[in-house]
Amino acid sequence: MRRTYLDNNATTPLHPEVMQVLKDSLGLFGNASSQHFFGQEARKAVEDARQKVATLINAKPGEIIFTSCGSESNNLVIKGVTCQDVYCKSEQSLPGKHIITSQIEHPSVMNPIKSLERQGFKVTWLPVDKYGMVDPELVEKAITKQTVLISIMTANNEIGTIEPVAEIARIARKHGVYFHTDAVQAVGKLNIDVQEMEVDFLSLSGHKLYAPKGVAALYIRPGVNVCPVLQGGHQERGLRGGTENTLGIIALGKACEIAARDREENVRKIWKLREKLRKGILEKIPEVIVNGHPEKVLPTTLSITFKYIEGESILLRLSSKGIAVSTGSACSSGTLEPSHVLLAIGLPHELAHGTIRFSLGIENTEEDIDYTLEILPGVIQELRQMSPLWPGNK
Amino acid sequence: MYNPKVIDYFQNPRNMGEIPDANGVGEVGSPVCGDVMKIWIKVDKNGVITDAKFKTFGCASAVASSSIATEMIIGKHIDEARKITNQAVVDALGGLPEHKIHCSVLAADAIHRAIDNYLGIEPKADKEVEYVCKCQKITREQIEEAIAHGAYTVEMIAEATGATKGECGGVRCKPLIEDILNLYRPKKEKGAN
Repeated sequence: MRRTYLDNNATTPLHPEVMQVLKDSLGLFGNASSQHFFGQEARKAVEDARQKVATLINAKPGEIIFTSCGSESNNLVIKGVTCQDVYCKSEQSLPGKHIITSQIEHPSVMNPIKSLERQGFKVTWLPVDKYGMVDPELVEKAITKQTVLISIMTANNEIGTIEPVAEIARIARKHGVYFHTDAVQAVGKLNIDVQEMEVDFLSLSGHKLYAPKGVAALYIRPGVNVCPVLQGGHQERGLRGGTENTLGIIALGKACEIAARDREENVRKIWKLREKLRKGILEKIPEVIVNGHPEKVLPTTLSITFKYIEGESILLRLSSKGIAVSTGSACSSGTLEPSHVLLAIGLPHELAHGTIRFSLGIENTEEDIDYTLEILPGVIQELRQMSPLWPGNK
Repeated sequence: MYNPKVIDYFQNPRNMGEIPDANGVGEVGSPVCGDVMKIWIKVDKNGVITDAKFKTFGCASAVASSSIATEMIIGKHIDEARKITNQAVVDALGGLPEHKIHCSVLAADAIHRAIDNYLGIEPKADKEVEYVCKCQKITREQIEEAIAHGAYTVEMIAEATGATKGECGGVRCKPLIEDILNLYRPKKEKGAN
């Protein structure tokens, strides 16, 4: 059976060059903190990788911290900036207890902030417009003397909408508030330049850009105070205890090097495929809604609502025909409540239930899209025939 | 996540469709919760169900539950068919994931509704009753009764009534139950720690 992977926002396959580097590095077992040559070989590999990650986002190597996943990077910022331990405090620490974020963040941003809310922090959960866009004016209005952190994602994982983060970062800077952006879905797809964007923190993750799971990074602007969450040794400038995941870090470095080299070409190719898929669906299938911003959207992401039917049914029927997609986002697949992102853009529950995310990657081909457009209309038609809500039946 | 039998009934649903001259129809669920099931039955003059068909808006387990439910009632007398519980539907499917059990509840309800409809028994319209937990159809009275019987946390009310355990996982009703609980909770005295 043909296997078509259209779930690259959930995770990406390993890039062949990353796989090769990993194979070549398997013997590199030294602890990067050891002073002998075994350790120093590992140290050199880690620092080379740090340079490559920094280059991709126009940062300096000393501004990059390696972590285990995007969720950890996000937790480190949110918990690290708001840490109440007097030992961690410095002149750069912000004393207030107010955080601004949006209603469409990833759970790894939402849940730590909800936890702070339960601990007495005030939180402004900014709404988004029908495209999922945060209004920078609302961000500025929400800032108080108590505000310590603003966290707005660079691009949304479910609908792909690209947020005006540079503008929000400028507002944050003007008011002396830290700004964090979860760029996990954006790095490798958009031109990410931390100097241009003027962000204080930026999270990125390996397995969304063709490196393996278990490795990620966080950019931290110099002079910004943040406390470690994973406390331990002096690794990663004391901000992240634990022996470095040398292999993962090497792979992430390679993936970032490839992204810097191939990004523009890949994006052009993927956007063409995305547009072919979008137009094909609109042409062949009635009663659908395209979610997300029409232009300011990730080239990899296409969120479609199929009216009168339910997402899991679509996913499983497509899966049985060799096409892998997701409903909303993989993170919410275990729950029954429709995605918070789809509800935040104003989709009624019944339409949110019928939404599918197609997310493309570098391995997708014209044939993948042709095959999807060949299979999808039949699957939708069959499920609609089965639905008591489908008006075509009445 | 699903066993092969559930997947089979989802991929190849038996008795999908409508019965134009059905003499009993039952519809349950709501599009908002993500599940709607409609079952048509044909009952002969002896009270035996000779045919049953379904249409379902919902997930794989909703489709599978309604499909197997139609198979379970065909050939049965309505009095027997009425005895089919959601557990029987779950057993027939060889089990459902915990958070999908409500699909079997809907399937059993849809059968009962269709038989009621055949017998001319009108269901109480949903609008007449205010449900606190819409998915599981738990009323304020039921929640207050649970409190009267000693429940003092949302979890205990969930245990006693089944509220919060439906489709939405309690997202909608937990705050409402909390509000009701607060009415019954002893007020903290001023100045007390």
